[in-house]
Amino acid sequence: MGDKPLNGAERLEKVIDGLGEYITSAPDQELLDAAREDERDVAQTSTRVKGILKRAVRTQQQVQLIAAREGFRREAAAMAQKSFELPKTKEARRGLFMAAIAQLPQLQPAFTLQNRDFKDFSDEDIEVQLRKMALLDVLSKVQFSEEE
Amino acid sequence: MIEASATPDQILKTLGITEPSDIDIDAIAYACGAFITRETLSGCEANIIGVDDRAVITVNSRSLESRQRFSAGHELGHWMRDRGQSAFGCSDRQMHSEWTANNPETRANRFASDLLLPVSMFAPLARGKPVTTETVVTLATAFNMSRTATAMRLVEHGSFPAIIAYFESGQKNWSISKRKEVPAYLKLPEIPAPQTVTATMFEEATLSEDSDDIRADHWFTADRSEKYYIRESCFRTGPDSVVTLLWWKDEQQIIDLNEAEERRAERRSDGDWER
Repeated sequence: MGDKPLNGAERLEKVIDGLGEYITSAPDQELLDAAREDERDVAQTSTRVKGILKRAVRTQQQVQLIAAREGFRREAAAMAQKSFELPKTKEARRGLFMAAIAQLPQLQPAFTLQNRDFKDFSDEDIEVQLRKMALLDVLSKVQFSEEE
Repeated sequence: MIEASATPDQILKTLGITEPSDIDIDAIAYACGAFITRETLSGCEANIIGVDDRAVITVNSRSLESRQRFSAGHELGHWMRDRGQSAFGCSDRQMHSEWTANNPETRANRFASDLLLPVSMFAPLARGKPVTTETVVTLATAFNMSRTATAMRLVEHGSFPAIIAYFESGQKNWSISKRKEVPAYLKLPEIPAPQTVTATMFEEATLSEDSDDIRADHWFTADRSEKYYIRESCFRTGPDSVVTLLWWKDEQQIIDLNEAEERRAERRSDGDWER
């Protein structure tokens, strides 16, 4: 008395709970007989249910992996769309890159093996590295004027 | 985000990865705070720039996919193990040659190997498989991994006594043996004997891989080595670099050497007793 009437979802939940309880407590033979009476293939049903449970457990275990996959896809798509405010001329882009390397010496190891004095860096190489630095908000710390 | 102190095993467990096909390096790196991009790089396989808790790893888009995966895993190793040093640039040579020294490159290689070829998944697939290039290729395909890293795993976690060695310009750069089974005194020479498959690989630059049963005394100086044969399989990793697998398909030499060593130890202890 005084209980709030159940909505559809709550009623369904109750029915499923009751059914689960019945299945858990019912003797195995009774369940097998009931399945056979319904002309069900017990082995096939068992394989199907095991598959469903395995997939559910796997999805649950991989919640973080699935989220990371989605996060990576989102960021990759955003990065492809993103435009970075880089200097217009290739000389200025090279200048900015050299300024970043000079002012942030901790970045040097990433490049030393590529080209020790950066002479052979193509404009494309420079742009790739500048985009990465921009993505990590490193360039905002670099003092550089395009007129220099 | 997964903590920097996490081991490869812990990372895989956190992400619920239990099968080779689920080892998605882009997603794993993302979960660790590193974003992987693929670009044309000249002169290096990969690099990483990290600031605070975020990093961008760039791998050379011109490399094979398996190499890209290993390079990404290697850079992620720097990110997880050497954080604080905000940038690394790593060459292909480092990823092949740095396996035995105690330095950041070796640690990064080990990290990549543990992450992308986890023992829990690798060992069951390697069980009972011959230590040859064919097995390496099969397993490398299953894990989408480089042959060198896979070959090393096969030697360390396969079922049989074996040694893997990396040769550059005809000289040994490093070697690793299955420690429990191969006696420590079975050491490889710095330069392979002319009768070995390895030496032939350096003579014939067009050979991409080769194998043969080789008399053990062509590799080892241990007593009576001329009586035994070992399986030698080689594959090329560059114009002047070769990975060699030595497998005691017939383990009799190891058994005889171990017995001889036991007899010597017994004699020594008898002598000590009498003294």
